[in-house]
Amino acid sequence: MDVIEKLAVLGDAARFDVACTSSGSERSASSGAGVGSTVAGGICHTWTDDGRCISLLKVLLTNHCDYDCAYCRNRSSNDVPRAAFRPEELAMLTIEFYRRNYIEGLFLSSGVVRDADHTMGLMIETLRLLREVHLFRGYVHVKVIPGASPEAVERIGRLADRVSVNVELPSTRSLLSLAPQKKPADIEAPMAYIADRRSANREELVRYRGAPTFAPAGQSTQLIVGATPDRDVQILRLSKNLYSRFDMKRVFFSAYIPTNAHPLLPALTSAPPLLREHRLYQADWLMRFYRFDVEEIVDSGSPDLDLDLDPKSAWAMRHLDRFPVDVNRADYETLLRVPGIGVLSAQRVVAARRLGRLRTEDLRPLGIVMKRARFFLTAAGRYAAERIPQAAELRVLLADKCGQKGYAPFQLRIEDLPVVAEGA
Amino acid sequence: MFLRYDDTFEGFLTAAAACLRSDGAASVLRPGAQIPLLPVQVVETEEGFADRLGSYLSTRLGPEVPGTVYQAWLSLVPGIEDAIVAFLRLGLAKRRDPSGFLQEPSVGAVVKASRKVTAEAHFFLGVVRFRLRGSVYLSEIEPAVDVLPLIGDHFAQRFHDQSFAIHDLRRGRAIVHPAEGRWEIVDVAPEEAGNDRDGETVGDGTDDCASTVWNPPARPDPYEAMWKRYFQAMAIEERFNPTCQRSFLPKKYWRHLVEEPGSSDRRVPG
Ligand code: SF4
Repeated sequence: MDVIEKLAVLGDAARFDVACTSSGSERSASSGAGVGSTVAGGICHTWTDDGRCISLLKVLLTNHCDYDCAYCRNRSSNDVPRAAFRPEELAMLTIEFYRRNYIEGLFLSSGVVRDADHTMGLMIETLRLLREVHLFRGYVHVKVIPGASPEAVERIGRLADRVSVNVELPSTRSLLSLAPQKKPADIEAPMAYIADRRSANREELVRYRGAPTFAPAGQSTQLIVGATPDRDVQILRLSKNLYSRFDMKRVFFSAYIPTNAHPLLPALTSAPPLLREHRLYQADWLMRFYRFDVEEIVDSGSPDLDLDLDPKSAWAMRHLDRFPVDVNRADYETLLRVPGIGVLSAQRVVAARRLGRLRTEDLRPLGIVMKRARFFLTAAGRYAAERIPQAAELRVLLADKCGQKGYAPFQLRIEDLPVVAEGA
Repeated sequence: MFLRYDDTFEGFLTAAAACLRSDGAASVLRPGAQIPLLPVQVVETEEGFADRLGSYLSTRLGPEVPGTVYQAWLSLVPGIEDAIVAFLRLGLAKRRDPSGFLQEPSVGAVVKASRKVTAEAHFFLGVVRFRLRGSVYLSEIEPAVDVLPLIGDHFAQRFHDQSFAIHDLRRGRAIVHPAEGRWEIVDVAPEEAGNDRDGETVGDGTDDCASTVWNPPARPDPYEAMWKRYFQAMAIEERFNPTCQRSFLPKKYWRHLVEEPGSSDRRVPG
């Protein structure tokens, strides 16, 4: 099979993967040999015909797989076209694409051939060729195969910018029933190893700037949403746990798209829960940047996110007694909790107040979404909306378009398409 | 009073400084601008003035200010000159970077214009496509504003071992970077650019980067076909969404891409 044919099969097999962000580490190439640099902000190189950003060459090393995970298209019992890159082929392809400015780097994943470490060995060899022979200094994200040995994880961490071990199923019970060859410990052990090595590496780098790096862009993971009966509260508690225990940079959510018939999985005809996935990302955002705790967003009493309202508006609806707030007096933390005010606009409010008291008409230029924020703000003694609406009415006014369209392109912009994981 | 400058950034800063020194009744005009019926004074550009003013603004108002002003100026938004003068006047009065005072119309205009330019430059970090001609990597772009001064460092850092050129067809200028060398912006005369397809050389012929420039390739680059194929394989046909795609990647930029957006439905089944 030609490289171009392999590329078609293995690109196709990888396209349902999320986590295409190429940001998080910054490395300039101005000194020393080699080609490439990484950029903190992330760069999109093109957009597919379905509107997704392509930043990295996202492929599987192979889609042959000895495992038989129920939710995966590449599982051993499926009859799909199979292909495998030789490490030097993929290294060459990456560097040649990179030099033409098609991509920011490589996002490598793989089906499991023989066992975890054998597969990891092929991935390591690909990266070694890329880094040591082609002197590639661009971005590399590798998915660690569950069950990989510490030695393999160590080697891959030294070669990659970001590593991820995918949790996939949000509960042990689901994992055991749907991915029988994967054990919870196979996922947790490499994650813990990576977290430990990262913190040790940070200290090494403080002592000696030239110390070799270990996954400088950190680790991430992915959870499949909607394949199993797990509730949002479980998913968000789990992701909080992952952030704190393993120092995750990102937890990605991926709406399950049915690919295989299975008694424990949603019917093949069921639509992927894209709106739910979108709400989970919004909730995750609140936890990471808006200083919300999981239990403020969902709890055992109301275990799922409201699909009609973004989680911040939903929180505000439950705490109407705290509003309206005075935009000229409220501190930064309070501003962050106002629907329609984001991190950037909260910072702008704080900066703009230095010039003088803000009036309601000053707020829109600061980037505040007045459509929602006006019900929660006063400025210079005036309420920002014409009148205070009743709670039921407010709920309707706050509903975002996502809810009505049933589908939100929100995170398509940020991290590519939300579908099920292939590869490990 | 109206001050006219010579279309260089340096000239603009000289005029802007003259305005700032006066009491504020002056207005700065770009060369192409409509000539008002009032007296126009032509400002003589002071050499080296941009650097001096830049470091003054940077220490007085903050390190971001010279960049913001430069980017806003590049936007070509009508009337941006006067907005920049008002922006700087406010900053000097408050002794801080005025960018935070977005409730002021001049600040809003400057920040918006500078963001428009940096967004365009960032976009081109991604959509520049190099075509390999001999040992030189060539790219042709048609950005809405002049992005070359803003993207040169990025490409020179990333591809410092490559000889490359990025040719802005709309403005007849190109970034030229010899391998392991320094990049610069050169004018590409329209006649030379017009000769592109005839295999004429650009530059004086001694430049490493110019010798093989614009020659048509002897045979097609296999990696271009691979990229096209990969691009098509990545689209999910059930979700074709040209509107969404075009909001990120406007059709006017498709011409110089290798991957042929919109082509995924023609793909050969893998
Ligand atoms: S999820 Fe990974 S391990 Fe499981 S079948 Fe698919 S490729 Fe194989």
